[in-house]
Amino acid sequence: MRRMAVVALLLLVVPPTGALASGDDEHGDEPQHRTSFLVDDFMRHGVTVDTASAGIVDAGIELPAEIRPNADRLAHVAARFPGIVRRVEKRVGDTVAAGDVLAVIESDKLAPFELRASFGGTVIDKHVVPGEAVSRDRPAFIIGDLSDVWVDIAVYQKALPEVQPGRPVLISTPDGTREAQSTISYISPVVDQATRTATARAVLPNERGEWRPGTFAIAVVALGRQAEVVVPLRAIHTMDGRDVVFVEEGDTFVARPVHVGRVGRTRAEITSGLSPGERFADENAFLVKAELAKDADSDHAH
Amino acid sequence: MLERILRISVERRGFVVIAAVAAALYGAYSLSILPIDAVPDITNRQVKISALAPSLTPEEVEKLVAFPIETSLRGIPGLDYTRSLSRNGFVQVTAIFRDSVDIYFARQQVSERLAGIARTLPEAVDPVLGPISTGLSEIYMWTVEYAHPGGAGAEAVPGRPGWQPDGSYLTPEGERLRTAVELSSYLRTVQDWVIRPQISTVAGVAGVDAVGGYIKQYQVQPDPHALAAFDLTFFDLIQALEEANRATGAGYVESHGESFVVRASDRLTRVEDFTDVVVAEREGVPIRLVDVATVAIGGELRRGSASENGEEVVLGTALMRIGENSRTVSAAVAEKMKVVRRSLPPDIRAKTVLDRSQLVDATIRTVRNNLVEGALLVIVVLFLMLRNLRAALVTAMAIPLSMLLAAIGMVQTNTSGNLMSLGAIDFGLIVDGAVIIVENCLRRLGQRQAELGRVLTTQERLETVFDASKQVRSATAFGEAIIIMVYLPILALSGVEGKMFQPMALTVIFALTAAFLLSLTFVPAMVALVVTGRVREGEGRLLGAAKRAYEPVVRFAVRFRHAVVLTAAVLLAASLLLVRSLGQEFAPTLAELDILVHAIRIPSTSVSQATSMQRDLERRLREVPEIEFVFSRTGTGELGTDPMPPYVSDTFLMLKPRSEWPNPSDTKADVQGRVRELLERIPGQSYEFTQPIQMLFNELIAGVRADIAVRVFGDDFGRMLPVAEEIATLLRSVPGAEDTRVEQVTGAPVLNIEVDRKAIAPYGLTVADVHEVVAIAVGGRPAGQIFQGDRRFDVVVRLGEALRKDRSELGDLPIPLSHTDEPPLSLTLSGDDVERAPPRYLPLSAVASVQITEGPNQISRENGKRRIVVQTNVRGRDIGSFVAEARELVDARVDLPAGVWLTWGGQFENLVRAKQRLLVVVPLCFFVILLLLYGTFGSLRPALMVFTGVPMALSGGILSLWLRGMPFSISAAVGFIALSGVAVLNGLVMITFVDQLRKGGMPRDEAILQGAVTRFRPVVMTALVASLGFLPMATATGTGAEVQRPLATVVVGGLLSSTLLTLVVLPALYRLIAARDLDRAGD
Repeated sequence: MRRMAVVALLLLVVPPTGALASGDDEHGDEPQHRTSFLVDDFMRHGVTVDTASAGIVDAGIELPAEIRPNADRLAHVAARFPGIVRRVEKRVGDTVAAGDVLAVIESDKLAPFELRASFGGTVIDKHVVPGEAVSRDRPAFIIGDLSDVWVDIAVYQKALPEVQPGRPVLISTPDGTREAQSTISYISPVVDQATRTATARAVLPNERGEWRPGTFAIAVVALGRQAEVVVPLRAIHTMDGRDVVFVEEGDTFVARPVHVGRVGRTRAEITSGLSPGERFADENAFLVKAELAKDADSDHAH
Repeated sequence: MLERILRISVERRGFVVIAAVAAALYGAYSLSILPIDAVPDITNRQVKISALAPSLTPEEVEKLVAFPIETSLRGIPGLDYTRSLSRNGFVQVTAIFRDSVDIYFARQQVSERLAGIARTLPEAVDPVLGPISTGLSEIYMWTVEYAHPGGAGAEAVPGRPGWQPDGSYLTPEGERLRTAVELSSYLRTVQDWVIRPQISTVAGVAGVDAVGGYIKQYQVQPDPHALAAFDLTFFDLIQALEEANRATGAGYVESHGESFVVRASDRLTRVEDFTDVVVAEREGVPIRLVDVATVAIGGELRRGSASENGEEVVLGTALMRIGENSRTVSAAVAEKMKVVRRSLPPDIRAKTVLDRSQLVDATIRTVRNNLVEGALLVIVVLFLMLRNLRAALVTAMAIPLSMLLAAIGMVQTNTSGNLMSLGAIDFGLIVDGAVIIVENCLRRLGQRQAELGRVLTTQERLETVFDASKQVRSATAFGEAIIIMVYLPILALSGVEGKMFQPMALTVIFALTAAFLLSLTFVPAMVALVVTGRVREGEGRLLGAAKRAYEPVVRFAVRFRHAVVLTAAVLLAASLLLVRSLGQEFAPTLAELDILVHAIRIPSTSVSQATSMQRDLERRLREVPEIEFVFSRTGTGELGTDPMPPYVSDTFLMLKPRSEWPNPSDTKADVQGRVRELLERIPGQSYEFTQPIQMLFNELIAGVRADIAVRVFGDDFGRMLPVAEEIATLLRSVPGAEDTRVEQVTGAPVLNIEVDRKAIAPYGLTVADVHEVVAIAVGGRPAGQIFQGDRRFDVVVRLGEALRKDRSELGDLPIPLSHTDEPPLSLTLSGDDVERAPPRYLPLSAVASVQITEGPNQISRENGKRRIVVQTNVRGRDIGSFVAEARELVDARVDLPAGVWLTWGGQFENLVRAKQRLLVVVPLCFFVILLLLYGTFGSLRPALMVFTGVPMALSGGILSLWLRGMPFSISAAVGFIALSGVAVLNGLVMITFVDQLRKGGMPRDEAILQGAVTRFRPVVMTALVASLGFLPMATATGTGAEVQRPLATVVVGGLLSSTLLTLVVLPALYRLIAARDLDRAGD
């Protein structure tokens, strides 16, 4: 379930941040392997044929995350003067509007005064009961506006170059029951010395309060990118130590060495060797490989 | 001595007959318990050690397991050599001992050595010895399957065990099976816990192997993120499971005079029990198993599968213990199976797919038919020639009697019966001695009656019988001694060929010895007893005519003796030239009833992929109308006796009886051709055709499954592989090569996880931390067992299939980070700043690189060196010439790098060794024959003269092989050996008679003529019975006939030529050689 959503999200296109081609060795010019079986034969045994086209490489990085209250919308309400709590009006979880009375405090020096909410939100914490003494140093209430929450994502060093503000990110709970989409809004300029991770943040709307702060979550940062030629990973096989795609040429398949560019979670970019519009073996392409590898064995004979 | 025995036999004839009957009864009993199989068991003395080393790659298995085991075995007394095979997570070491070593001693020694190195092996690697079975032990196979796969067509009653209306299956134990894996696991559970315990108790069964389905496991599949969220590790989970699944005994308490046993039993038994297991506690809140993992009934990471007609099944195999009688054991298993079937759950059936006793029975039928037909022919010939039914029957009785007596000898010496040993008994040969005696008795009785003109009195009859027996006895005694003698060289064979042919030689020697004894005792006694009344001396019209025609022939031969002898010499020379044009093979192949096809895929093929390809293949084979059903085994079974990689399948094509074929006149080769055509239209695999027993046989002979195996030895695969490939190319270019393959040593894809040491350092992780997580996630880790009655199932902690399947998911595998101070779940909200809780894990990709590489697929070693086998089958030509041509080519073209060397093996290896051995022993044997002859005659000339029968007989044998287009094989060689004995016997009888006549004062030429004519009847008779006795065998087409055919062909052809020699050339030769000698004596 979660996987489907991840994949769907990863198909979102992100403006390219620069070519990532890393072509070091050049393939081609070698005699190609051609199957003795016809494409139709393979199709009878479950091989499907697909057409190469432009598409999105659904790359992504999975990172641990945690739901946190929006710190910009968090108020610690403390008594301005020390006193004794007379009445408590709101309890944890109560929704409050700006100016609502939270508690009434009796002071030795002053008349009883009221503690009021500075903005609308939810009572997240309360430290007072009637009769308790309060002081300025200790917040009596914590009020948070949970209509949106922060998702703090731990980004380890290796992933830092990839995770940039503006990247789409998919947030989900580990059990896959809840998920939502957002974008990276902020990346901390420093890396934590203890954990060696930087914090990336996304904001999630939380009108219905589903995203409870403290929830452990998984964030998948999409690195998807539009590419000229994209094929499913299952179509790419390794033969004699090089990547190949089985391309339909005439009525048979030919093992075509290709250069694989960015690799996504289900698809990969082909930077050379395959042109848009060419047809290739997709599902069960292993059968083509098996047949060619078998032929290759006996080819040595002749 | 002989005379005394003869006299007693004739006088105490009643007693002798009763004693013979008693011996025959004992023989009949022996025959009933005689182990009989289709082919001799050629397994060497071997102990197989196999070990599972989950999660070790072939190279590590070789380094950490195979090598220490091999090294530890060194120096065991009687150890011949060792072989090992290392695969991914599996190793098999085979220790081959010399044949003189007791197998139990060998196993004991191996066990001791293994115990010594147990500590040095990697953890959880536990080497075990294979069952006490031989390579031909797979005698009975069955499939366990649903009668209605998927419940289609089955009666579904809700709530009653069996198929349910919703398509699930309710087990009698109350489990509901829904998924394919669950259904498949249940079949395996039935095999392992219902069928196996019963079959393994059958006497003579060494073990029960199973392949296919899944061994049921309770799989706890943790959600790695959930674990991380609670700051738990895989180990916490394993520990929690083990602690929650316990039973403890606590002694007893006494109370009010009774004693109560105290026990605390809290074992988990069902999936539901797992959910409540508390894994940890966080601030007073228990974290239950369900919070962090799912529990499912699943299957183990299997190494093999089985299927039948396109459906996955479980395949069970009963393995016979060494030295047992395959026919009786498989019959006992079949009997037990009937009982087992009654205890199977509803709609599950155990279908017998292979029963060795069927082949054995068919084989025995062939042998029996040949023997009965041969015996009948012999009786008819005897009757026609002797013209006395009683005498013919007496002679023929020697056949079953000597057979029964031979059975006693076989049982006493633990010699098993098989196609070759039983088929080599020529009843014509056996009755030779009896024929000569009976013939002479009849002749003398007739003569005596004619002299006296009346029926003889009992006393006269006895005297005549005694005299007549005595007259020919010494000649036949020597002759038979010679026939027995010639079989002795076969006993000198060693190795595979020894195991193959020694039982045969022993059997024949027993039968001949029995016949020899009978001809001294029983036969004269019976003649004395039953040949009463008028005995008509004289042969029938046919024989009379032949004899009359023969007389001028002898005269002619004697007159033109130079020409005759020269012609014979030329014929001999010509036939020797023919030998070169004969092909060579080790032993003829038994044509079995069924076909076996290996389907071979590339080494990277997974078990599931191979299984699905195999099922596709099976479904297509259903189109062949001659095939009754198809079943197959992919990969390795539980016991690992035959360690096949998961990308290879043994496909058994069980054919319908020929009468049910659309065209019953088709041959098996026709069907095989059609199957090959069909299979070659399926992409992605290649095939090798063989037969079920032939495959086992070939594997035993050379450790490979093909006819010829070239072994490339060395240390470095990088150097060895090009050599092996070059050899394969050369072999393929030799005409006759088929299914040529290089052992697939490389090509196993490896997902290489390399931890980046620099990357893990800042996170406080160690390499071991990362490795452990990967090992548990991918391979799983046991966490106790679940008991359900006798049945026990492993609890395994492992990632779910969906996570394991996806390569990219592996990079996301969370590696937990350990933290000390911060409370993980509490929200730190103090102060103005919101502290972010530290991350609890890192994805694997953050600390390690995951790459796909190619690694070794399997590593074979022999005697401590790596080896690569290039193997090929030979079709349409003989192996001998193929090897000669191939060797020449390889020697000329292949340049061996330093440290790499070759050996050639396979079937032909045995042929070469046997030929070398025979080249020494056979001439020696001939020399002894000559010596015996010299002893008989007291002079060299007649001895040499008689000895000429041997080469003459050989020429006939060679000619007959050539005419029938058969190659020279060890079977044929045995035929030649038998032949030389008979040839000598005939010559001996004739020459002795001529000598006797001349000693009686008869002139030379007349003695030759009369001797030849008088001995015409016995010579023709012995030759006829001996060749007719083998005629059915030479022409038979039944199961196993092809094994006997070469031997019979040689004997029939050779006897014809040797008889011709005895009748025509020998008188001429006698006149030529013995002439001056006797002239001088006459002076």
